[in-house]
Amino acid sequence: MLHINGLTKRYGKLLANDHLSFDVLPGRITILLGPNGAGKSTAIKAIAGLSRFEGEITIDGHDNKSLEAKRALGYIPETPSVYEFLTINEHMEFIARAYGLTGGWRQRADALLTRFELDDKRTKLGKELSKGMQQKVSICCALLTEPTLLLVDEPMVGLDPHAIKELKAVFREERDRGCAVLISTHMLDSVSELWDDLRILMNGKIAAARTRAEVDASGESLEELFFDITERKEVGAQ
Amino acid sequence: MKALLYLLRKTIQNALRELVKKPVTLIPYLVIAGLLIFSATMTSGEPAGEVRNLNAYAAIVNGVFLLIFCTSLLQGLKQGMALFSMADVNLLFTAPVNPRKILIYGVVRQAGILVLASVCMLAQYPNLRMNCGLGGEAVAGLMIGYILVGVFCQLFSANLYALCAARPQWRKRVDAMLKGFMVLLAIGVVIFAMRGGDFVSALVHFFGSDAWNYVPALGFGRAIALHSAVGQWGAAMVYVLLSLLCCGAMVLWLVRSDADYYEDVLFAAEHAYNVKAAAKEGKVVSTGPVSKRVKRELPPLRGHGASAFFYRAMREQSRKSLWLFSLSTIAALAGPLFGMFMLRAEGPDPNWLWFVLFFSAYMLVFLSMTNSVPRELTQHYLFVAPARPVAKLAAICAPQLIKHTADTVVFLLATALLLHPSVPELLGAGLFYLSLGAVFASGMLLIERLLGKLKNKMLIVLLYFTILILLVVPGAVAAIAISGAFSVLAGCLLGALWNVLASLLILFCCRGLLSATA
Repeated sequence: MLHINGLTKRYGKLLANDHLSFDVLPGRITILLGPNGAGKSTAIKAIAGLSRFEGEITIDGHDNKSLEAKRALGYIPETPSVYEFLTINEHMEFIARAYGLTGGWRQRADALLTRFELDDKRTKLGKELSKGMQQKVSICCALLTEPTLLLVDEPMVGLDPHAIKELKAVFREERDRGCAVLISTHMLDSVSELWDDLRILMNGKIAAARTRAEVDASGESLEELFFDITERKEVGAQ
Repeated sequence: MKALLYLLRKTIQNALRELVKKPVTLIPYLVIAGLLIFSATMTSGEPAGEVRNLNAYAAIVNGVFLLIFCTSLLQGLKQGMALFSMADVNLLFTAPVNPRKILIYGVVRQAGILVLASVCMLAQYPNLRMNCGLGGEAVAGLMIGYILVGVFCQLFSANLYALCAARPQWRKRVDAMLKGFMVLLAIGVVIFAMRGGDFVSALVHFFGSDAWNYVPALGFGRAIALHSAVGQWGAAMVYVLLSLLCCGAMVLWLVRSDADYYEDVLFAAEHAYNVKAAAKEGKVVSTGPVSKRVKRELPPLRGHGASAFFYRAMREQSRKSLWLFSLSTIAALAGPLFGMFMLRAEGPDPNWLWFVLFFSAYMLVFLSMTNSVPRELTQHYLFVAPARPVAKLAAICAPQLIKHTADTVVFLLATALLLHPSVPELLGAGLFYLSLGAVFASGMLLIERLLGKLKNKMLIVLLYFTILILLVVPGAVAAIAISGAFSVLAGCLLGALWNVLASLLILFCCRGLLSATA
């Protein structure tokens, strides 16, 4: 699971994340919502170990920059970028080597590539792939390692309807497997039927935290809740 | 480490296979290789003669290495390390691989890129042979020195960036130290000039001084180039070892100081990715940070119809702090400066003005690749706006011509100050150089018209050079002939007239360019 305590990130004078604290529990899908510039991607980069920050982030009890934490993490970035001169198959093999995966990974890779309609493109080089296909390769690479924390930044951008359907199914399967899933997005429709826990980010702070049960009990939709919180905040700020 | 070795091995294998599988992609590489071999063998049959101008060669090598050092440090301070790609960030940095091993992988890959880039130095072989009496050993030494200095500069700038990222107050100090170093260089030249002799002698004596051999890495690179040039390979090897020690020290500093360098890499990787993505779409855009001093509040835009494109482009240009001093300005300065060195070394030459003009034009071909015309052609507004196509084309070329006019003023001032030509010579050279701007701007339109559908960027660049040469050469040949028969002014006027007529003809032929975005 993911534990975040007092995550603060500054870019010069700009406070991008202001003392964020929350957990992402195993077997739950948590969504990080927020308008553009709210600090979602900054938080995701900090969790993925790509930036310096103040505060504490642990994955399965390990510091997020440790090799143990990285072994537990699957990361699907917002901007898919693959190696230009590696084929799709070789991307899978590279990930298997980098994560020290042993027997069984090839079957998993085959299944993932078939599921995301990449099996007939296995020998294509990274530079020959469209944006959408690159995103699919990124997804397959992240899932191949069977992570205990899946970190996803704007997952549906550039994907075709079939891949979106499969990805949503994958998120549910990962949750059922006991994986903690954290999805950052501002596209409410894409995650409305998926989530279990919700964090709404505004100006680098958590403006609201809800569980699905709480929202269902209030009778509000995700969209109504989001606009109620973000627009109220904006009016308050003015 | 196995994963990193696998990555390197597969990348190299697949890149080579790709070249063999798609012979079209090989064409530009073969042409470039042919040119390099041609230039390398062109003068190899002639006797090299005595070694001469060695001090000037040392000064030039030193100047180039200092330029690499200062630019990579300034760039590194701003953007961090350019050792990694976005794929590395997304797939490697998040993987359970030791960051120090990843750093070594990045350095090895960068060294490989520098080895490939150093092949271009083969083109300097005829220059070294004709002007300095040096042979193949000099080129080999130059390549080795360049690779070692390049790797050192990358590592040093990475260390400085990491140092400043962790302690923001250090950024100003390091920046001030770097600028102080440049001021010291200028003071050094002034002191040498005051000791006697002219400015050029001072430059050669200061930058060519053997005292530079004691400067770690930079001076060692210079020493490798010089010792190998005169066949002293033993001494050159000592400096190779010293340079490797310097690089090793930089790696050790980086590894020991802070292995948490991922954030330092992230910005540079994202920047490179954005630039590459823009280039794939045919844009040549800078996606770097915007200066805080940029004027955001300006009067409303002017112009209607086609002229609105001109005023919009000028507004954008006005927000670029150094618009009037850019890469093309370097081309304007390069001809007069190189002419000054050459005239000192070789003595007076009746064709000196053409040499200066063509050297600047030659540099301009390479440095004008980033001009604004191709970028403007990627804006869909240009195609859909209700105005005459020719007027719109003229509007997007006009800012480029204004910029080139400013460059021409720089060219004229530099030529007048450094080479003391007569007034008619200066006037003729100015007009000819000014007309080159029109050819280059319209040449860009022609490239888009003829090669817009080509995807092979290397091939486009190659054809771009060829087309520009074909456009300029007939006028230039006629101009030199008239210059010899009558006067330099008459020759220049004829050359300028040819350039203007060729540009207008291209503009007319490309008037349909805006009728279809395809």
